[in-house]
Order: sequence, then structure tokens, then C-alpha cells
Amino acid sequence: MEQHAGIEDEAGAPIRDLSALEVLYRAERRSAVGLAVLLTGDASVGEELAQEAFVRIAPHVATTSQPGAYLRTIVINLCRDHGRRVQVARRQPVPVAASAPPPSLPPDVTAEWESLRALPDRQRHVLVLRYWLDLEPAEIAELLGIPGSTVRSSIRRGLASLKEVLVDER
Amino acid sequence: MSAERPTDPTAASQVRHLRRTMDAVVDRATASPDGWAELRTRVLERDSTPPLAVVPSRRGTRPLLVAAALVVVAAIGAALVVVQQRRDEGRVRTAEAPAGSPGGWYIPRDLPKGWKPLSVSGGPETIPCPCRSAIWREPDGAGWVWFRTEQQPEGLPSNDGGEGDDAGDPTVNLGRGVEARFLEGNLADADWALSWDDEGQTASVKASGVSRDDAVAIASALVADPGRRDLPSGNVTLDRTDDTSSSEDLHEASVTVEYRRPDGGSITYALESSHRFHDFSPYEDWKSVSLPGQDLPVEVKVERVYTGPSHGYRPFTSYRGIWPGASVHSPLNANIRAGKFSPDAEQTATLVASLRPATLEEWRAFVRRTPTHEDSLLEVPSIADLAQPGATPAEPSARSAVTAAASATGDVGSLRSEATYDSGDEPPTHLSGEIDGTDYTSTFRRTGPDGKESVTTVTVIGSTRWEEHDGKVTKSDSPPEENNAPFPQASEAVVKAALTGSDVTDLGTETVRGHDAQHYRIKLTSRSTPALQALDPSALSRFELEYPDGVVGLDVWVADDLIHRIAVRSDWESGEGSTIEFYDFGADITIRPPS
Repeated sequence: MEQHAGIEDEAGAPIRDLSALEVLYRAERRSAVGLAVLLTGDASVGEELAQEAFVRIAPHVATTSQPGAYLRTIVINLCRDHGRRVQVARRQPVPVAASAPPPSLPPDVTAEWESLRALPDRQRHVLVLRYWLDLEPAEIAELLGIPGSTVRSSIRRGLASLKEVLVDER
Repeated sequence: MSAERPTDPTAASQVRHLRRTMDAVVDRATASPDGWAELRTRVLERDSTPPLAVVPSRRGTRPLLVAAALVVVAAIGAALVVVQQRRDEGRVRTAEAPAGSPGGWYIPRDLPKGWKPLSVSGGPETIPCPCRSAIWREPDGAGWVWFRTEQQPEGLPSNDGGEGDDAGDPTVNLGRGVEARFLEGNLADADWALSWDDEGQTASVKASGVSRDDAVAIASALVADPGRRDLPSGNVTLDRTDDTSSSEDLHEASVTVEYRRPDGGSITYALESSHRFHDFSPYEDWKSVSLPGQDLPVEVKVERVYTGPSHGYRPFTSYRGIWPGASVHSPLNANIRAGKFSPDAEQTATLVASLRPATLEEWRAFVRRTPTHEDSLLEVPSIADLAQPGATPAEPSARSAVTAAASATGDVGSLRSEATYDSGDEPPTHLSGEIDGTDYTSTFRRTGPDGKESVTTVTVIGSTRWEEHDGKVTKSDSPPEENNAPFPQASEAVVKAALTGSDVTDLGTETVRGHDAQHYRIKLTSRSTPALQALDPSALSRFELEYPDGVVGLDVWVADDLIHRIAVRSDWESGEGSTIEFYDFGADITIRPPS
């Protein structure tokens, strides 16, 4: 029996070859982990969710025409689901399991990162997709399933909230 | 955070700063050795536990649906749960033997010692329609086609007249001038998805196991006849139970009952007046289950849910029953502690197994002895009656008066406004403004720590914005994302969201700017707060309501069927919060550039 026998994708076909996944991983690790860390605001959770995204795309990676875009979508969905569950847990009176402590960062970044982490999820998600992934507002609206006007106003609100820490660098 | 800030001319450099910040974070986060070896092991060892159910994105304000979508967890308490695999798993089944509760009320009987009711809350909810959700499946396979239509979200008009710049994306013609777009990779479990807008409705069709070559034929057929029951392509058939549609708004109601468990935690179950429209999904994986002592049909769903880096994925179990008069769903949410869910599967099974139909009198007695409850739930004979608009609240006249005033205010084209934003920890900001459609002028006055008054006037006409400060005028382009929602429409959206599941009290008549106005108090609930959170920030910011968690409610003054004053209360005693007054409704106002 091959060591990967028994692994099946959702259509039931065994995964025969991990080389395509490895190629994708090498090419996309930074963007997937980076996106997840920025979206969740948590380095440990982000890394774990990015890994999970690679696990999920594994059965499809050889047959998907744009695995990078597909991976990105999985990462975004996982991070949004994670955010929702954190919110649910927060509404409960019982303390939630502590998430990983904030990652240590260079002193000149901490204030900005902490402020970004403190934004409401939607504002942070929209700012990350807009200015780190360079997506257009219409693309963000599509990805997040929210109106384009909401994307634009979230950008505006998010930038306004960060005004204090993002200094004019001209 | 103020309701409106002058445009920051340094935005571009701030964006550069933001990009640098994010790059630095990512550099740091990815500096550690890569995880390929671990990933490889995980892929090879991936067990056959069903994957996490995909939660389809939803527009609009449906707090309970969101709560249900959030339902997390539970390992099968093997002693209690016997999963019976059925070929039609995932379908909605209705109890055939109408036993017990014509009112749709179900309450726990004979729970072990230590279980205590804590709260009962709920109310009506409207889903704007016409709408349809239909699922076709392959008779003996995993393939499916899922078609959904819904009303495009109401409320605030899009500032730019549309969602906009899809022109560069490939579109396909579905007939009748309808253009659709393929969504790329947007649905993890679907092979393809097409989306289009048609006559005020947003429609989408997604499929798994059905050739993409058939996509256009299927979608075109659904554009020609959205109510059709067969599909032109694909070996799929429509099951009656997977089709729900309505030509008019759907009125639903839900009631949430919260219990304290013997171990001190809480657990909830929801009664819903109907099987909810958006719960139709091929991703759902419900299976019949037997719970000892429970004769009514129960279904179970087990998802793998991420519980944090230390514990990874754990199974989470939830139950539902489509029962006479109502459906039941539990738990509504769960807490994660040390990788375990609270409530756990066994606790939830205990609760669901104990539920029995209750007569109206039994239900009322149960509600009355629950420490926290809404009196409106004592006034309707059935949960179906609760779903009927206007039939439920404790003070139907108060609620309907506020609702009607919110609608009428939303229709006002011009008005003048005065507002005070008082956060309590710094001098308040005062605003006086005029609005004509989407054009407006707002003057902000604020006293700084040095006692000097700072005055800024913002004028927006079309897409041009002027900002006047210290006698200096700056003119700039004003993209829609920079603008606030017009006060009339923002007021309607905020007040209606606040009314969701809330109690309304009539506090009597008071005078507002010479008008006899009725003073109503809306106390926010666990249902209205998420309804507010779902609103566009450009509306919330008008009332400094971006963080409704910190708000206990709204006071609204109504005169001549229009809202004359709104006060946002962070507590009922202090005067802190935002107070906005409207007057000169419909006045002949023209916004002019600063001279």
C-alpha cells in the first residue's frame, strides 16, 4: 500500500502526487500566511489557517486553473469564519481560551500593527485586501459578499481610525 | 471618533505607511522556517472527518441566521447519539405526525437537577422577497446545483449609483439582456458559480459535479423562468423539500431560550416559526438521529471547527428538529475552552431530548417564571402569530409609530440638523447642517483643551468637497467612500435596525423645537445589536454607532409622523452619547459652495 493510499478528495479520487502542492506552497506560502496573519491579526492563528488552506486545496491543486486565486479565497473564508467564531465566543460569559500572544514586532511597527489589529474585523479585512493585496473595491465586494458602497466606506472609516498612527511621510 | 472628519490630504502617504506596516508584519510572520514538512504530513494523514461546512455569504441583516451559521460544535456523545445514515441526508424533513403543540411552543421537561431557565427573548423578522432557493441533486451521486435569488439589499442608496466596475471581467449573456459573471474560486466546494442581477434581484447559481459547459444553459433557463422545476442540463433532479420560494416578503419569527447548566455554563435553543429560507444549502450535512426519550424527529450535524493553535480542529455537534408549529435548533452558539466546546454534545443532546410540546398556558407560565423575558412573548398564541408584522410587540402602537416615522423620515429630501456628539471624555462636538438629497453642508464646532473654539465647515456637492477651516478653503474630489450617508436615510436604517427584536416604550409627550413630540425608548437586545453592526458604517457614523456593543438603546422623538430627535444612549442615566435633531423637513434648501 502506498503511504498516501486512503487519502481522498471530495470526489473520492486518491491524491497521487504532492509535487503540485509543493510547487504551490513554495510560491504562495508568504502571501497565504501573510494574508491570514493580517486578516486575523494573530500570527499563530494566521499560520495555522494558512496551513489549513493548503490542506484543503490539496485535492484540487492539480486540476484547478488558478490555484493561487483559489487558495486566496480559501484563506479569506477561513479567516472570516474564524473571526465569526471568536465573536460568538466573546458573547459568552465564560472566558475564551486565550489565543496566542501578540507576535513580537520591531518597535517601530508595534503601534501601527496594534491599531490595525484593534480595528473592527470588516474594516481590517477591507484595508488588508485593498492595500496589501491591491484588490479593487469591486473585487473586495465580491469576495466578501458585501455591497461596494460598504467596502468604500469601510476603507474610509478604517483609514480614519488609523490616522493617529499613520503619519504623513511626505 | 467623530461623525465626520475633514478629508485628510495626507491619505496617500498614510496608505504608503500602512503598506509598509503590513509588509513588516508579514516579513516577521513568515521569517520562521517554512511548514512544508508539517503540511505534507497533514495532507497525508488527513482523516475522513467531514470538512467544515461552508457558510455561504449573506447580505442583509439576519441576526438569527448569522447566529445559526455560527453554530459551532460537538463530538457525538456516543451513548446518547445513534447516527442513522440515510440516503437522503441533508434534506429537510417535516414531522409527519402532528403531535402536541399547535402554537409551536416547546419547553424542557424533567431536566436533571441544576438546569435553570435564564432568559426568553425573540420577535419577528422579515426577509425581503420575492426570493427563491432551490437545490437539484444527482439521484445517486454527490452532484448538485444550487440556485438562489434574493432582493438586492434595501436601505442606503449606493453613493455612486452602482456597485460598479465589473466592465473588465468576462461576462456571459443569459438572454433578456441579463449579463452574468463567473465567480472565480469564490466557493470552496462548488465547481463553478455564476452571478447576475435581474430586475432588482441578485441571483446566483452554483454547482458541484455538474459540467461547467452546462452552466450557461442552466442559468439561461433560470433567467427565462426562475420558478422552473427541471433543468435543461446535468443529471440532477429537484426534490420538493429542497425548494422554497415566496413572491412576497417572508415573515418569520424566532424565540431564543437560554438555560444555565449544572456546570455553570449556559446553553441556548431557538424556536423558529418556519424552516428558514437561507438554511437551504447543499453544504449542510444533517443526519437523522435518535435521542433517548425524544419521540419527535431530530437531526444532527457534526462539523470540524478550528479551536485555536493548541488544539486544532475539534468536532462540534448541533441538533435541529422540524417539528409541528416550529423548528428547534440547538445550541445557537458555543464557547471554546482548552479546545473543548461549551456546551458539549452531550449537554446539547440532553436539552434537546427533554423538549416537549407545551400548551399556551404552559408556555406562558414558563416564560413568566424565567428571570429575564420579553412580555411580548406572552401576548401571542403561537410563534406563527409572532411572525406576523405588527402583531407582536408589547406596545404595538409604539413600535408601529416609530417604524412608520422612520420610513417617512427616510423619504425626506431636505432638512436641517443640529447634533451633539458627547463621548464623555472630551469636550463635545457640535454639528449644524443642511441636507439637500446627497448634497450637504456640515459645520463642526469643538472647544479644544486650550479653550479655543475650532470651526470646520464641510460642503459636499456632487463629487466635489470643500473644507473651510480658519478662513482657509480646500477644494477636493470627494469619492463616494469619503462621504457620509444622508441623515434621512441613515436615520431610517439605524432606527429600523434598532427595532429588531427590541422592546419599545412610550415615555409620553415632550416638546422638541416647539413641536409636541412623542418620546419612545428602544432598548437594544441581542438581536438588534448585530442588526446595527450589519449596517453600512457611513450610516452608523452619523450617530457614532460604529460600536453598538457599548450602547444600551435609542430614544426617539416623533412628531407629525417624522423623527425630530434621536438620542443614542450609552447608559440611561447620563447624558452621554449622540443627540441629533431634525427640523425644516422638506424646506427649500440649496447647498452652495463656500464663497
